[in-house]
Amino acid sequence: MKSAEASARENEGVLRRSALIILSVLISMYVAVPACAMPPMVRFSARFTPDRPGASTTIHLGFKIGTSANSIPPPLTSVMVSLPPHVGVLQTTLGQVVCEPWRLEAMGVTGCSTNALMGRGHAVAELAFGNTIVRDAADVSMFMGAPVAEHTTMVFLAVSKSPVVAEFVFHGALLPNPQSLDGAIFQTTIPLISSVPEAPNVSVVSVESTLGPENITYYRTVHGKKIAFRPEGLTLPRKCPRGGLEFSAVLGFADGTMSKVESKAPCSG
Amino acid sequence: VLKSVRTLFSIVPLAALFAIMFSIATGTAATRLASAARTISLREVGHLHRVGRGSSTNLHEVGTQSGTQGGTMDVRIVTAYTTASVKFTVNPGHGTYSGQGVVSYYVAGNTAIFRGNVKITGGSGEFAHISASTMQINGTMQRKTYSATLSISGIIKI
Repeated sequence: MKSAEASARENEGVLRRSALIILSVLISMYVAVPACAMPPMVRFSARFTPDRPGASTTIHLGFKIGTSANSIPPPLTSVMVSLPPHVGVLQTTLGQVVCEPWRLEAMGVTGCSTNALMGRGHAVAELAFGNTIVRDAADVSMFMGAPVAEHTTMVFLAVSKSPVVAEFVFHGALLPNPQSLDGAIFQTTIPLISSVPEAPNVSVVSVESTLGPENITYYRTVHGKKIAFRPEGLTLPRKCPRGGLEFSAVLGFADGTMSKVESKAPCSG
Repeated sequence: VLKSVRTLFSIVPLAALFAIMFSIATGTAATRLASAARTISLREVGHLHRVGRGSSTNLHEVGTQSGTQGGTMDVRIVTAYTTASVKFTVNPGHGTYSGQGVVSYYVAGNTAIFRGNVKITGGSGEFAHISASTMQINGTMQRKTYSATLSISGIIKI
C-alpha cells in the first residue's frame, strides 16, 4: 500500500535526520581534535534505586574525569547518554510543570515549581590559579523544560557557593536513538564556564546526577490544604537482562576530544 | 465451398457484434463499480479514557469520536522514551477501519503529546475496501489521568 510506504519513509526520515544530527556532532568533535590530543580518562557508573524488576525507580549516573598526567582535564562541553530500552515512561509523574529557563536565571532554584524537579546532582570542577588548583563544588538540579522541535527537554541549574559563587543554566533533550526505537539519547550541552579574567575555563572533574523521585517531594492542593507526595519514577522492566541494563555515554571536551564509556546497571533486586 | 465461405462471413460479424456487446456490458459494470468508490476527507477526534490496568509502557484507550463521521474509537499505545506505537480502530457505525504506525512522543509538563503518520491496515463493512494515503495522528494525553484527545485525519477511499 502506497500510504504504508509513505508513512514508513517519513518515520525513517525522522530517525535519519536525528542520526545525522548526532553524527554531525560526532564528526565535528572528531574533526576538531588536534593530532596529539588524548581524550581524558572517564569512569562511568549507572545504577537504579530501587533496582527491583518492575519497580518505580531513580536512575543514578556518575562520571569521574581525569587525565593520565594528573593535570586538569579540558572543560566538559557535552554529554550524550544512551538510555536502555524497555524502561517504562507511562507511569512516571515526574515533571508535572514546565520550568522556563529565564526564571532559573532570574530567581535561581526558587524560580521554578518543585513539581518541575526531575532530579538532583552534584558536580565538582577544578580551576587553576597560577600553580594552584582550586576545586569548586556545585549542586545541580534538573527540571522539566518546554518541548523543543517535538522533543522532551530538561533544564539544569548548577549553583556553586564556595570558593566561586556562581549560577548557570544549561539544557538537555531526550532524542530518538537511531539504533534503537525503544531506547533514547539524553543529550546535554554544557557551556564553557569562565572563572576569572585571563584564567582558563573551569573543568568539570566529576558529576553525579539522578533522574527520578529519590529525595524529591511534590505538592498538591486538596480542599485548600497543601499535601506532600512522592512522584512516580521511570519503571524498570519486569524481566531484566542478565547483568543489568546497558548505558553508554559519549563525553565531549573543549579541546575536541571525546570519550566513550559504558556501564551496566544491575536490575535484580 | 462457396456456401461455407458465405456461412463464415455471416458468423464473423455476428461474433464481433456479441464481442462488442459483451465489452460494453462489462465496461458499464466496471464504470458502475468505479463510481461507487467514494473519496472522503476525514478528521475524527476521539475523546478517550483508559480501560484496563495497562502497564508502564502499554495503554488501552477507548471513547467516542466527533468529526466527519462520529462513532467510537479504540486505541492501543505502546510508549518508549521518544516514540509511541499506535494501533487504532474506528467504528463509525456501518463498519470499521483500522490503522497503525510509530509516531513521536514527547512530554510538556502534565501533558504527553503524540504526533506522526500512520497507515490504514484494513476495514470491514462499508470500509471493507478502504485505501488511504498517509493519515496523520495528533494527540495529547493527561499524564495524571490518562485521558486523551486523539485526532486522525487524512483522505480515504472506500
